[in-house]
Amino acid sequence: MNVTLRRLGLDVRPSPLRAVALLGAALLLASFLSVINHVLDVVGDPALLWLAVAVTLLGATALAWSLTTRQAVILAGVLLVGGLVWYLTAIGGWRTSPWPYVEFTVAMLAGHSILEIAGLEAWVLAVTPAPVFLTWYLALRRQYASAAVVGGLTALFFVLTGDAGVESTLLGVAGALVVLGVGELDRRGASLGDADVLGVLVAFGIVVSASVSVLPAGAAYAVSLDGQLSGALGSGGGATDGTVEANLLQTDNTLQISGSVSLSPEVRFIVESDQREYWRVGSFDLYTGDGWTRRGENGAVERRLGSPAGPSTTLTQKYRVLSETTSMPAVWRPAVVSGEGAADARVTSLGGLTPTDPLAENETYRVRSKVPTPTLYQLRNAGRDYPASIATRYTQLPESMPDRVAERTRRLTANADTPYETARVIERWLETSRGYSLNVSKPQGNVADAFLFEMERGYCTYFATTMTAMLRTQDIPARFVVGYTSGQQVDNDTWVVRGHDAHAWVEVFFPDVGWIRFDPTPSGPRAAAEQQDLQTARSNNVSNVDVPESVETARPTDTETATETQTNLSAATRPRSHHAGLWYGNNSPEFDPGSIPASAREAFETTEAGTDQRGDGPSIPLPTAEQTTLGALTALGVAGVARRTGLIRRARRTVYRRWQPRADPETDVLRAFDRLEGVLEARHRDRQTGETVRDYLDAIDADDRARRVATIRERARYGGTVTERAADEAVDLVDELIRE
Amino acid sequence: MRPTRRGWATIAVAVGAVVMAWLFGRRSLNAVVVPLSLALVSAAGQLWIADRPTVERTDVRSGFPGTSRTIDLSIDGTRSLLVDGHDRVSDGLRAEDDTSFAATLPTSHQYAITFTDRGEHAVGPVSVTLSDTLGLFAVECDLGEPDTVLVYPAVRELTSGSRLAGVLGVDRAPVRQEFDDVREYVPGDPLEDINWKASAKRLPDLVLTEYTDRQTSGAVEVVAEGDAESIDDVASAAASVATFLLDAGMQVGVTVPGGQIEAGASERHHTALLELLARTGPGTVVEGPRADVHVRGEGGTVTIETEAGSVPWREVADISSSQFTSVERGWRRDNVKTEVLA
Repeated sequence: MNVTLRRLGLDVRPSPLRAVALLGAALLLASFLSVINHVLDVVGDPALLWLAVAVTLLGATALAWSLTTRQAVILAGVLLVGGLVWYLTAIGGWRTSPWPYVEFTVAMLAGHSILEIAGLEAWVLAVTPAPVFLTWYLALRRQYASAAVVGGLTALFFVLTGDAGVESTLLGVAGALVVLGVGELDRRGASLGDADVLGVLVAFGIVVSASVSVLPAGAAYAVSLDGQLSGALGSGGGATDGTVEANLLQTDNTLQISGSVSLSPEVRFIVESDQREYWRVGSFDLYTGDGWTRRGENGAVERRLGSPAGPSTTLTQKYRVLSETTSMPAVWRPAVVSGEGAADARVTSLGGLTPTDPLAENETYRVRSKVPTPTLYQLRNAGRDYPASIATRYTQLPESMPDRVAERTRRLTANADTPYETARVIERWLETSRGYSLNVSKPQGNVADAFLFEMERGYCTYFATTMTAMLRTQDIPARFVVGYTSGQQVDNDTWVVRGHDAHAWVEVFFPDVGWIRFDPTPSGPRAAAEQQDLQTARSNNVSNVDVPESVETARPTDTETATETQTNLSAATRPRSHHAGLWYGNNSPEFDPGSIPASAREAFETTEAGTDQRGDGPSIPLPTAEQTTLGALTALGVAGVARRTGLIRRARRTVYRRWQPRADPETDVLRAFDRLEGVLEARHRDRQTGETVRDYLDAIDADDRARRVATIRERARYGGTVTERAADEAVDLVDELIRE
Repeated sequence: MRPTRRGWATIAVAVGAVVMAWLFGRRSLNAVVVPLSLALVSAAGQLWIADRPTVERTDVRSGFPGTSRTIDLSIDGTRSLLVDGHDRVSDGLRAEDDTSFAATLPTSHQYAITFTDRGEHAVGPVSVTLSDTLGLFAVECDLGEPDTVLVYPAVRELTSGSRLAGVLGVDRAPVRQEFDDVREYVPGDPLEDINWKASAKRLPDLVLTEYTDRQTSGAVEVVAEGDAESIDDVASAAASVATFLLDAGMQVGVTVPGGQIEAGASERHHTALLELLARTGPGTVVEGPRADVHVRGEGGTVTIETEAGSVPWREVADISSSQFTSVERGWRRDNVKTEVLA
């Protein structure tokens, strides 16, 4: 019984393997705690989390030898259940049926970020201590497999919610494998050397998963937070991976900003509308630093649609779907939606339309929108009297957002008196000071910060993200919006919308007016890129690029017209008509560049001049903590391989043989002979036990130089005296022999 | 080769991750699936290329019931594989420690056994479960051949020594240990008669002790037989009587259903008698010498019959006495003294 107890981990004998196994447990904890930290950073201050984690770890360590496993499991259960009860009480969200919680959990496992959880800070504090406690307790008690299971499942949860990045995930997997494998070796009293296999495995895992993807391109179902399973796109439908469109629009509630993207020329919609508009799909409220998340559940159409607070005009649009899609564009702000395609439409918490099942080809729907038409005067005088719910939700920024973003924005907009002016200044500044390119590498850390201080160009996602973040630093409610630009006009009231028209822009909230669109992306280069994509596709005879109407207008002469129509939106008339025809209408006051106060323009130019100080941040991105750890693990693995294959020993021998540091003559001679013997044994055969050096040299018919070294060594060894010169000679001769 | 519970769990997580990725999007699941698949493949590979482990067990010397022995196992094979196993100990032997072990290769394991019942028993083979370092896959196999362990019948002191002696007529026999002469050792002489003390003075020559009674004491033939129920007691009684007679300096021959040994008096002879009595099974002696002492067992009752009469074994054996103290005392050579006594 005693033996069994000891084997179960009741003894505390230290060993290097135990240290490594505990390190693995720490790695496992770190992998999901870093995810939680990142998420918490988005909505608040993670300091409290770390306090809770520190207390939990100390508690687990203190209790490790006074609690039985059973008691510890019960304690963890109490922690978890108690935490959840406290959390639900705190957010006041008790419901009579448990079903909504189950649906919500399933939705999270299907990829909804934990950012969408209401009262996230409370949730994190409620949920984190239990797995941290149990994992650490079990690891300390040498119940490594159970520790790996508890920690691993927790980490897996955050992988499934999509919050864990590749690096955190790899850390978690590596940690779990180390706890499991090294822990097992520790329990069996093995030696550290036995763990080399695991080192190799972990290193391979890291390297291979970084370069190989084994996962199938799947059905990509989505589960909404209220438990609605929306159908998958059939084959051939949807946007191609790696395009702007897929990145922006094939998202559920979470959008990850990516690096380089391409364009897709396929036709998506034909829109009939009396006005040129942006066909808006959805918006996001939560900025995570490297992406966007929409919080809240989808709701019924009847309850969610409405009209803006300020003046508006009615605009009716008819959409015909040309390839299967999960997007349901509508001009802001949709008031009524009808038609076969709208039968199962729902509305996101932010007012965008979303179909429960993908819209099939040739499905149509109509939207009647109330387009805000405020006057410039109204916008300027809207003031800052934001409703509390708007102010808290739409001025959120990650806690880790560098202060320099706010600082630069403040300097830039120092002379803007109203939120409207601030927004215009930022919009124009971004348009003019950053280039347009689809070919960028995704920055480390905060994207808005990187785009402001390190990058010179980017595409719409970067512009819109940065502008939203900048506005928020000035406490102006703003949100990130995705959808399609108007596309190719093929008739007075008809537009052909293609994949490459996918776009991201910004909406700013004005009291008594509502959400007003701003677009900081330089539209000239963007339109040009889209046009080029279209022409390349046409000349390559790519299918689905045109509908009969668009081909008509796409004759050589018309191509230019089309291009011009696009560019009309921007380059030539920017910024005046940038919004013209969008929401100003014909008789709306237009924005006049002169309306930016001269002082603001000055600030603008000073910053412009200062743009070569963009190197505020390090120009070579430093590896993150995760990357460093992964690198170190890989290195350990390589060392493991070297050890397994005897490479280290061989390398050490080679170095020993080739390189001789000098000491006193006697040592030198002895070592020189040692090296010589090594070489001879490698080239001929080993000297047998009992065989004298002379016999051996005769037997292998050795070189005279070898004999000479042997003589010097004999003299040094038995004669007792050896001169510096003889030592030099011996070393030189051996060097010579080895080099041959 | 089969996946362990841990292996199944790993497979389940990897497959589950693939399914989740297919259903709801990839997320970072690739970083889960790839390392876990590699772990599974490498685990299977590690076992696949592993050599079959070899096991060595120290020889287990024969002994009396109650004797303890230490069993030393050493298992060798491909380095850092996990090995879980246990040694098999047959009935008639009792393992004092855990015979099971969990370690990495190569390893060794020690445990003690106590002999409980007369007979020929086996230790081994070792059953092991061999797994890769992560313990995801396992192979089960039995290693090595079983080793035979012989447990002698219990030898009891005879309580009513005089009464039995009367029955056996031993008191009339000359005392064997009377020392007659020493002479030089010649090849073929029994090794146990070498007089080491005297030899030490005359090295390199070896000296042999000659006893006066060797030829004169005469031989006693013991015949022992019994049914299945009583054969253990019969063996014990025969062994006790034979030991008593040998101690008294007489030559003893034994015939049992399992075989026969001619009369003799040496240490080696004593061991041979014990081995025969250890192995014998129930039955009757069909053909044998005239019995001076006849040990007969029937239905659990054992009687000792001589020309002078018969006596039940129950009344003669000192059950309470340590069962082989007489042997220890009677044996003149060190082979008994090295035994660990219970």
